[in-house]
Amino acid sequence: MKRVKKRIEKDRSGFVELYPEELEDMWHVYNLISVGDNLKATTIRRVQNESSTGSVESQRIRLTLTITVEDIDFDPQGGLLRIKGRNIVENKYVKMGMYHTIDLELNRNFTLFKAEWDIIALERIEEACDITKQADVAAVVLQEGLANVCLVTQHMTIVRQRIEHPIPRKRKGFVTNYEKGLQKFYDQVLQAILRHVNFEIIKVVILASPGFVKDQLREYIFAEAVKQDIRSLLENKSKFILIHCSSGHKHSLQEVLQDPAVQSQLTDTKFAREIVALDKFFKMLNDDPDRAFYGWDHVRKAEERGAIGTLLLSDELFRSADIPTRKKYINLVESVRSIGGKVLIFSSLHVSGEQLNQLTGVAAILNFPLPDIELEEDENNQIATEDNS
Amino acid sequence: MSRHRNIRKLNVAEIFEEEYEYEEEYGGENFEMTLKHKKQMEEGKTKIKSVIGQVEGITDKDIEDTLWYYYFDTEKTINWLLDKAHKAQSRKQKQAPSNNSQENKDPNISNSGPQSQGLSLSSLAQESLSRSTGRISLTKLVPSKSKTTDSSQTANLNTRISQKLISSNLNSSKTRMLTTSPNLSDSTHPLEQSSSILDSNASISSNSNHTEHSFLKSSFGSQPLNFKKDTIPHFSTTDSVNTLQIQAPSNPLIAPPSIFAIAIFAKLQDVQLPSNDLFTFELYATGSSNQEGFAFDKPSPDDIVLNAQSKKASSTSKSKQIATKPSPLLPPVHTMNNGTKKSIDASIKKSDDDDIEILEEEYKEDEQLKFDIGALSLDSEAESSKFSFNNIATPIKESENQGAVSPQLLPNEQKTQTKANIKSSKRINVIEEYKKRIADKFPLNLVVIGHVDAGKSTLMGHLLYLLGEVNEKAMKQYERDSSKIGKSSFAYAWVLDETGEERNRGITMDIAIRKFETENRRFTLLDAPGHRDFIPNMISGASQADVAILVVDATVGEFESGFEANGQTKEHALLIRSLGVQQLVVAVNKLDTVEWSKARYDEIVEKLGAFLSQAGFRKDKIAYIPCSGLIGENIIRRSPGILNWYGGETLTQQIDKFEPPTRLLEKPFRLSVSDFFKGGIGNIAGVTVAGRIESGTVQVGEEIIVIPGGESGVVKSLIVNEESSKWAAAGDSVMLTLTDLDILQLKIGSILCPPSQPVPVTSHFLARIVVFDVKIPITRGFPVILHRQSLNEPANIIKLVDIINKNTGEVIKKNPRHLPKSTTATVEIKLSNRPIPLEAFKDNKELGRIMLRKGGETVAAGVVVDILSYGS
Repeated sequence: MKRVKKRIEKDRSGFVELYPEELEDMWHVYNLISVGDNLKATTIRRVQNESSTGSVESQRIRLTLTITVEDIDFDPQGGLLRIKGRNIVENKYVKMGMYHTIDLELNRNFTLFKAEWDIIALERIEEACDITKQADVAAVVLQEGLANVCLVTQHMTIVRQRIEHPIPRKRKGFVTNYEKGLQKFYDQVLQAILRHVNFEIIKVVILASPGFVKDQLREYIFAEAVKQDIRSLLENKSKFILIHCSSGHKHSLQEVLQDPAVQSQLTDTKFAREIVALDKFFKMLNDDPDRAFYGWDHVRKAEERGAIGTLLLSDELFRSADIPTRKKYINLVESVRSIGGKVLIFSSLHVSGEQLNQLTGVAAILNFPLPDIELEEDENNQIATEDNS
Repeated sequence: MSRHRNIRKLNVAEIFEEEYEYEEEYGGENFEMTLKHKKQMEEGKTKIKSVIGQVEGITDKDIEDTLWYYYFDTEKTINWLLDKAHKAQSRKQKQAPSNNSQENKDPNISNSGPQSQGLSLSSLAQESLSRSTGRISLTKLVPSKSKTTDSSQTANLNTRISQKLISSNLNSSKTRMLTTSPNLSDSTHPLEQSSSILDSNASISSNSNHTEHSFLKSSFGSQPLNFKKDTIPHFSTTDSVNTLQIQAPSNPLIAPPSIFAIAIFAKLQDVQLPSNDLFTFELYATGSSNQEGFAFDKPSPDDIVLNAQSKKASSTSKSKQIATKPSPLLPPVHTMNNGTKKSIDASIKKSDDDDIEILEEEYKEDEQLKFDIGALSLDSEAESSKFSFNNIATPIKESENQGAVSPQLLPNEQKTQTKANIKSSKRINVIEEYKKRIADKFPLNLVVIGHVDAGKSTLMGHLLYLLGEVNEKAMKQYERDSSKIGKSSFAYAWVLDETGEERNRGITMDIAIRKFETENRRFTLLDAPGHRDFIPNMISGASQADVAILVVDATVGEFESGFEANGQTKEHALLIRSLGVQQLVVAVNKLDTVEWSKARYDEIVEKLGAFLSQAGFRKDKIAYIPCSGLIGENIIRRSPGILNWYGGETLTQQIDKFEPPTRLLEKPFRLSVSDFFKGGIGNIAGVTVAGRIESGTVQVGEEIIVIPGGESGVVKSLIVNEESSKWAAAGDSVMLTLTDLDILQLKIGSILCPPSQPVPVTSHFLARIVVFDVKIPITRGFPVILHRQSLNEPANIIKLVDIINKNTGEVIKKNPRHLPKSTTATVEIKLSNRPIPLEAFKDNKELGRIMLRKGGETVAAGVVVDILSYGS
């Protein structure tokens, strides 16, 4: 994404003009736009003209509209972002207050007006426009009969294709079925890689599986590449790395990205940091449960006592439609930062973010134990249950 | 063609005339019969008339009404009408003995016919009537039972007779909807329907809400044991097939059929098979308190299934009935429950591994089976097979009856019934056959487990060779080929490791299935891979097993590495224990590498013994055998002078002593697909499916459906233990060829089941789990891979409900933040990708067991307590 123009007043209102270049940018925009903002972008609208004789003629025109956002819809697979709202700048074709849905397009400028640009939104723009931080990885997690071809970027994990191919089991004196099935399966994976991996962008292709499936797949891929003279594969042979993981389901992508071999290739990328932090949180929860808390109530109590060392937040919380909730979390972020704590905002399109979302979306690793938080809770519960009984 | 033109063509006057007619009948209900319907109506009417001829008391209008009600299903209509005629006759006879009570009850019920036809006008209602999904029938059964509370209390016995006679008409026709205790639920159907007539759409939706709610309630009802015991001293919520069986004879309310009943049903009874008595007996056993001498002339297969499926539920709701209204009106119920309780106690004493125990043991103290989630019942064999005989016998009767009614009326019959047509004479009584088979040699599934390179495949390969299952020539070939690639010690393992990859790498990667026989047992051998990456395969194999051999490597250092945290010895042992395997032989292998040292053997036995009993194995069910797989020592015989200090059994002798487990023959047929491929066995076209039959029986010619999907197919041929067979029963590892089935409908982990008794499909359920030795605690949102038999699917633990004391069953903590290792807890699990077929543990022990794994480690094992949502 490129920032074309930015003008933010002292009262933090203002606008930013942006130029989205790739799929991931749509995800950023999706996180930036909230209900009530104004958006100016070019769009196509079908306009109907009624002639004097009563016949109706409709045509599609490209025009620039400014709307107040009412509804946002995002499809991560296709990177489609649709924003519905009411027109606020009248023109020849569209009256004030008429509804329109803008499909944001790549490589076309748009301008976003906000009544208040908060720190999270501004950081998001910085991050999105920082090209040095980009790392695109293709990962194939597989097991016999199941493969997920994923694209991992800074902020998104997209399953490009899920391949399921039943492989007959070995049976007495009858293994050809099994071996044939396996070959077919590998072929499908190879085709998926060729279709979805753009080797000009992708830095690393990870093949991850339990057992020897990954080794066999790699053998197969390069044998085929030589046989069919697939240049793109042969030239990028060094980009393929093999990682062990426990299964072919999407979950295990987290294991893969945690692997030291991958970490060294992708140092200091956002998702790597997220996974490490989440892992640390779980370890802490096991070893010293008084230093790891999740859920808004617990985390807020820890924050009041100034104990938070690392705050883990899901970006889903900031997409919240109601402003008080968003403010609540922004205050939390600012307060943690002010005492020197680290704040990590997880992308809910990553596996780690999904997991954090399940954990209420907010978690904290404390600098010192606070056993009384849970006790307090228990007491409250007890009182509550006594009241009930 | 546009709708406008359609309308133009209509004869308006005619339509209005029609409408007027119907409005008269249905008291101004908004109703419109389309032309198509009219045509169908006419066709149906003539058909029916031709079949039943002129019967007293059946008017044209009746036929029309009924046809509409069953939506032009002529066959059902005929059944209903004939029964109605019976009823009318019965009423005449009846009038003298029970005049008063009948007048009270009858209007309500006899109205229900036409009224519920009014109901059928709303498409929603129609759908719910005709829909055959498991969901409806499952949820439906609860309210009907709870409603019976009232009816059973208010109505006296006499009225009940007539009630049932009338409602039996409904019952025989509305097979899809009917529920566990048919008599009970029938009597309430009219009530339910008439209530929904009032505002059909709204009440139906609210009804289903209510049902689901009460369904949950009733299934939870079994948990707070203590509470209920306090309030009702007589009563115990424990319930199982056994209690029901035992309770039946003690039911004081079973009177011999009244004269009246005999008069009406005499004719029908003549036609029926001799097993009729058994069947009626079963109906009593399903636990209604107001039973009378009443025989169903046509028990639908659904009834029977649902009976079996929800015996537990029915008795739970019965308990609710007593708990909520312990009125003096119900003395017989109390006495009956006294009897029940005694019998429960007796059965608990009789066998501590019994069905009841499974749910009970989490509450009761049982130090041996601390962690036991699934115990196999060993004693109830005879009883259960007797019981299941009923289930098998009745569907035959059913199909015969159907055939007798009107063979020429069947062209419009559903696909399901035309596909599977076995003549009753050709039908095999599988239970009888099964008894014959087990009288010879009992079939057992044996899984071989242990750490990687413990020598599992070699030991078993050698055993197969010594037992003559591998021919000399092939063995020679293996020896030559293996020494060619410098792995001569793998020759025996090659018997089982057949793929190129496995042979090259020298490890087993997937389950190998072989059969062999000992003196008294017929084994299906499942050789599991030991490597940690292939544990999903190992689970797939172990879930098919009844008994296990745990192979440990006695070599210094090797045993230890297999036994330590990262070794698979412990994990495998825990897994098979959670999968319900109770009997274990430990083969202390490779003793030749330590000079047959007794000290080493004793050391291993001691270490393992401590762990295994902690894992929930009983001491008397574990045997230790010193042996060497490579040399072949102590497998079927011992060479003199090698194991002088050992005087026990050889490996073959020991595995010959495994006790036969109980099979779930009486449950509906379930087969968990572990493998499938195109092409039939022999020259038949079709799809071949392999897997283990978890419960029930199957025979050639039967129709089955694949869940999820619901696509149906017909069993064309069967292979059990490498031999073709006409039938197979629970516990068998089979390959079966299906025709008329698209291979795309199959997935590993799909369930095959009869069309009438589909397995529920769910993506959200409640489970009780035991957390293993985990490094990171289980929290909300914990992503896991869920394993059930061969199926593995990603899932999330979405809610931690409570932590339970595994000895007492008390709730230690509600809504815990996390589950540390080795806790027992109740959690909610949601599938991430798609729903899977699953049954609650109480309904089917095999399909109710789950394993949760993450990152290559097994984090928990457990059982499905309750299914929280059906479908996706």
